[in-house]
Amino acid sequence: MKMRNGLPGKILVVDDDAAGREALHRVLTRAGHTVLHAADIASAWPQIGTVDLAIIDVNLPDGNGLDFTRSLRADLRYAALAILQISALAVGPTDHADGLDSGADAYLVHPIPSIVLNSTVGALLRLRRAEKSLSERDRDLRSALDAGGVTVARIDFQTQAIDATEGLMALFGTERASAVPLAYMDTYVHSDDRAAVHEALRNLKLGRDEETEFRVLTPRRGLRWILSRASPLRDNDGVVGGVTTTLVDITSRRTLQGQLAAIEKVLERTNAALEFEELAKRALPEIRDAWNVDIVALCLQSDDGRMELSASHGDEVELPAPIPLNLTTGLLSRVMQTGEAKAEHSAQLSAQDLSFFRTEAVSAAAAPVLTADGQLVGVIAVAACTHREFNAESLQLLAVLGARLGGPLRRVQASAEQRALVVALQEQLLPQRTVNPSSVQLAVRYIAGSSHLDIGGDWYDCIELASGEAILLVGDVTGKGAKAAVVMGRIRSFTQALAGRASGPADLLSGLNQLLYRDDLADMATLCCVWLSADRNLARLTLAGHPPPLLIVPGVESVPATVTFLDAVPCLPLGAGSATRYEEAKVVLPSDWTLLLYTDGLVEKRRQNLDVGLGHLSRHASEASTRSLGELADAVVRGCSDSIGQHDDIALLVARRHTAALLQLRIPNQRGAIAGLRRELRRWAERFAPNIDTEALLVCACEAASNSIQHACGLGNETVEVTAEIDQDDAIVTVRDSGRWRNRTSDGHGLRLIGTMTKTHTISSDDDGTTVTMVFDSKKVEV
Amino acid sequence: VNELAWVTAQSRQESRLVALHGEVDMSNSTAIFKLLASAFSNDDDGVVIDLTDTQYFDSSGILLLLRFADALDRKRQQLVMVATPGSTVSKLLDISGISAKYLRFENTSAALEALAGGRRAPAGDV
Repeated sequence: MKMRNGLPGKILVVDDDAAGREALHRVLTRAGHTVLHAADIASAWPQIGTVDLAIIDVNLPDGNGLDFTRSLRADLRYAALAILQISALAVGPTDHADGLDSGADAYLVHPIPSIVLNSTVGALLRLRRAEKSLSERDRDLRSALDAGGVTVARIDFQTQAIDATEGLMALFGTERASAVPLAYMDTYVHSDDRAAVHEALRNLKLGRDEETEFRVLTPRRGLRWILSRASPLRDNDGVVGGVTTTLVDITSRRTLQGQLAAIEKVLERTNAALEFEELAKRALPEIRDAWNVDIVALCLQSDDGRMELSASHGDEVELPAPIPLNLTTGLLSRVMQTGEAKAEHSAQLSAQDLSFFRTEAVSAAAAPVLTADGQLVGVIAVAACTHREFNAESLQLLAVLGARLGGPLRRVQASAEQRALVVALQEQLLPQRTVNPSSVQLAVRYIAGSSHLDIGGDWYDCIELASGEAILLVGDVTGKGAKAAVVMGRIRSFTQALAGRASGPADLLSGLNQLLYRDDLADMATLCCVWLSADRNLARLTLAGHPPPLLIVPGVESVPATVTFLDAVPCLPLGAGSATRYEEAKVVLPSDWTLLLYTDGLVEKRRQNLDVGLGHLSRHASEASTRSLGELADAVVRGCSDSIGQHDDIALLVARRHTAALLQLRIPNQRGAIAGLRRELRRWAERFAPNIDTEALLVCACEAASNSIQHACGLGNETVEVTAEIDQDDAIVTVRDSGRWRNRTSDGHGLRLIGTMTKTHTISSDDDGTTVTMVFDSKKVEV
Repeated sequence: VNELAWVTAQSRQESRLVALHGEVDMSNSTAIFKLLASAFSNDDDGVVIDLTDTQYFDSSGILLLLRFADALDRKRQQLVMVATPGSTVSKLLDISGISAKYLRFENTSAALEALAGGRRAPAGDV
């Protein structure tokens, strides 16, 4: 059977019309409820104590349904009973109001659609059940009885009155000397606790002992927590005629318990925090609630020893922390000086001290914030804009909180320091400047991760072998932080050591894997290794758990550039197993190419398909493919970071072979050839060395060439060879002849110009000829 | 002179104004020197060499200027140069030490005025 409203209950239908009873019975039993019947008030009374809900018709043969409801409500035994008033005759709005006034929880008029009946009954039953569950509180406060202030009270069910003892009056802070009608109890008991109190009374009437905690609103002393331990009083016949109870004021215990719980919660939350803002956001609201205040402020010492308002919560305006404070007088400075928690109220509260609050504080308490070793690093302050008593225990707990807050705060600061440390370590272990292997240009980038948990372990390197082959490497050590950075440094050293003896990338990675495995660095490392042949026309590639490198082939005239990821058999990361076999793929390279090797931080975002990141990389690389190498690297990093958002560590190595960027000329050994050389050099410089002073480069190159033409003599010196190439930001020009300069200091002007207008220059002569090498940098030569 | 450079010369007041156009290098510097030597007369107070339109200049040009200045000196005639400040030619004149020996002006009118005023170069002072 389907239950429309979930909660089956026991329902008494009080109606003199048998047909009406039957109709209700049918609908309610179909909804899963148990239904009892009564045709009049007299037959309803014996059954009413056993049900959750009574449905009462307004007109009954032995009385008015409204009066019956009123008498039920007056009886505490039925306080938890839900009452639904129904009527066929009374249809005006006044009747409706009368019904609810009588104490009914709801009022319906015939004809009642079954869906309305079911939803109303369901809602009433849920309401009652929710009130019941509220009353099921934890009862582990037995020690509270020792707290003193125990008073005794008696309830007489016959007279429906509470015998007032002096202790009870003191507890409630009233002066009433006579007995209190039991019905008045509800005006004292906190609305949230009424159901629990009524349930306790019901159980007591049934002869059970009851222990209840509830709040009372006392006229003099505000809200108090009371612990009641009650037993039924029986007459000689064993009938329960009343209750005797001991009552204890447990207000301070309850408050402190709440504050203790808050401290645990605050520390639990702060321990999980990574950054100060996060820590403050989690901790301060908890503190505000537990100390029942309006504002919480955390003032901490900055690096230079000055106090700052570091975070606040609950003030009208969100303060842009940190705000420097000048604490000379007032509550905070007194707490700072004495190292003790203190509370002050409006008269004493220095306006200056808490003036950073927009809200005017009437009562405030503050405690020192201490580190684990007892060092005072700040003050935690709570403030209320109405009067608030901070008793000794409450202050003590604020002090406990302050004393335990320093640790997490320190840790958060330390993590910021750790980030800086790991970044420094990482940068130290990476090559500061890679040396370009011959006829290949390089650009490298390392960008530290967003948080300290993401830094360390990413690396790049380029090794040129004696054979002329060159190895491009980008790798990533699993794990982060200082340890990953150190492991990365070791892998780089291993690689440098093994490279010279390895026959290729697979051989190199096998060797590295053995070393890593043997050393039990307990870390795995991914690696992308591109092994360039001496003529730079062939690449051998091995991927160890690493994303593939990107190859850009420049377009020719109307054909656009192509961007492809290189294919290779994916192999296991280094250190994953001693027997891993590494395989290499051969890639024939065109005359001009650009290769991008990178770590996954550039392309990988959590919960995002890797292909999406690779797509971004491919697009950004394609867009910037015609730019200079450094610009390409920057554009790719910027573009991919923007697409990904918060990023992991990124290492990027971009290598380019641009045969056109290497100018090689042979000019005849004739004076007239110099002009042609100038034109070629000028064209080359304007295209490939836009940042170099072209005029200076032309003058120096032609001086050297003129010298060769003018002075070179010997056999086979018919031509002068001039080359120009780009090395990072520098341009390098070499002029070589196959003879010897007869007299290098013929007039001196040429060499003087070269000496002044180049960054560096060397002249070397051997049996085969003389070579002048000149380096120009982008800074203009100022004379 | 050859396809790279050409020389224009004119008389102004008591001075001769010679402009070097194009590129001056080892292929034409000797020819240019001969041309300059033939271009001035003994009547002139001095010679203004205008290098503002010189596209290329190197140590062969410097050598040319020094030789020409030497020839003028022997006739007690003065050499004054015109070059665009900050240009490569100016830098080369500075580096080679010519700037310290002979007056250099930013434009021809200033150079001619200086010659007419009889201002002597600070020869030998440096």
